[in-house]
Amino acid sequence: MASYHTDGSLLERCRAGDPAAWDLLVARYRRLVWSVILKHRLRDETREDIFQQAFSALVEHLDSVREEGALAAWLTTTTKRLCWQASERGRRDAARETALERDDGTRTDPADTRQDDADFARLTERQLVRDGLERLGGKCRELLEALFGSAGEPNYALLAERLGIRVGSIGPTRARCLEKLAGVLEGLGFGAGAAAREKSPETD
Amino acid sequence: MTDPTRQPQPRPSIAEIEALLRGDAGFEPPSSALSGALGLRSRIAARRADAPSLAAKVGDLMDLAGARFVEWLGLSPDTALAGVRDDRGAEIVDAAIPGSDLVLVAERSEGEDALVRLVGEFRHASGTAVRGRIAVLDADNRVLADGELDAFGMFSLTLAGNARRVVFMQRGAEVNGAVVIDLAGASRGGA
Repeated sequence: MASYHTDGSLLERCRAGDPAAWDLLVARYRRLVWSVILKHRLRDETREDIFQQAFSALVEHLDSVREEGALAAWLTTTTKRLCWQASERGRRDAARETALERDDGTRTDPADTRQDDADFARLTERQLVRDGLERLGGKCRELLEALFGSAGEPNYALLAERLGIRVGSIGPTRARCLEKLAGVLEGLGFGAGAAAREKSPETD
Repeated sequence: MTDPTRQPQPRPSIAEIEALLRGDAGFEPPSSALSGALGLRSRIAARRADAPSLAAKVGDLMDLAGARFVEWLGLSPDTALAGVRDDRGAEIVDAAIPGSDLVLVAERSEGEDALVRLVGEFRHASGTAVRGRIAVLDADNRVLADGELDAFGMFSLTLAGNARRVVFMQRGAEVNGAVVIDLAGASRGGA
């Protein structure tokens, strides 16, 4: 398995002034932060501002985010807060101050946290898959990212050439890599999230 | 004895993993947003430059003149440091600091997270704990990390790749109290 830098080690390197560690942290959590932002009705430029504000907040609070495993939750909570603040600023109707309008048109009482819990579980699950892929590393990571990472059908011939395998081996290799990833995810507790989802309705 | 309240967790299904992988590309932020976040690296790099010069800090407390300069794992007759590398690849020092009643016991090793750490303690030759401040410096004497020894005289430091020396300033020893440990020439640790 390729070398993997824990959040704790990257944060410590950032505190010591290592910009390469920062690049790795942004790469690791960019989709998590963006997925939180997408759950809120905001203009494109506001979304991009919030994306930068969330990571800027992390730079400011590097010295306080120390608990291993807490960074994903910290970024999620910080991003949500920034989105709510942006929504509040854009809200003109005082009657809507007691509710948040969701993308599907339904309204949720901010005091009702059940949807937030389900959303957070789903966000956490996705981030676990990204984390698992990063820990997997090597050709498996490269293959799975190429097969699933872009819209449309991948170019198998180019992919096989890049990975140094036969085109006919892509299918079996894909299956083996997914099994390996499943093993990594099991170790990261991915199954716990799936079990919890069976008890509560899923609304992604 | 198994915990009856612990429910076995299902192994993630391949179909579920595929679905999450397939949908993940939709959460890629626009490149303009991403470059903005990556641009914050300049603030990270500035943390190193903003670290106050230890020379200035030491100047507030004591003069570096008269400090004990020693080499990690050095075997020079002018030093009393003697280091060994154990079978884990860690470098261990257990030696008296020349010209003082201080003893340094410390281990320098590389963890599984690829970080090199220096962990140990300063104590008096009598065995009693020493208090003071310890710092890691780069080649320009800029502070990369610093902290206080705890009540037992122990410390734990992360050595960044550009760490060149460790300075210890004993509390209450305002004259000739600093110890400077030169890390140059030592390995990064590991087997």
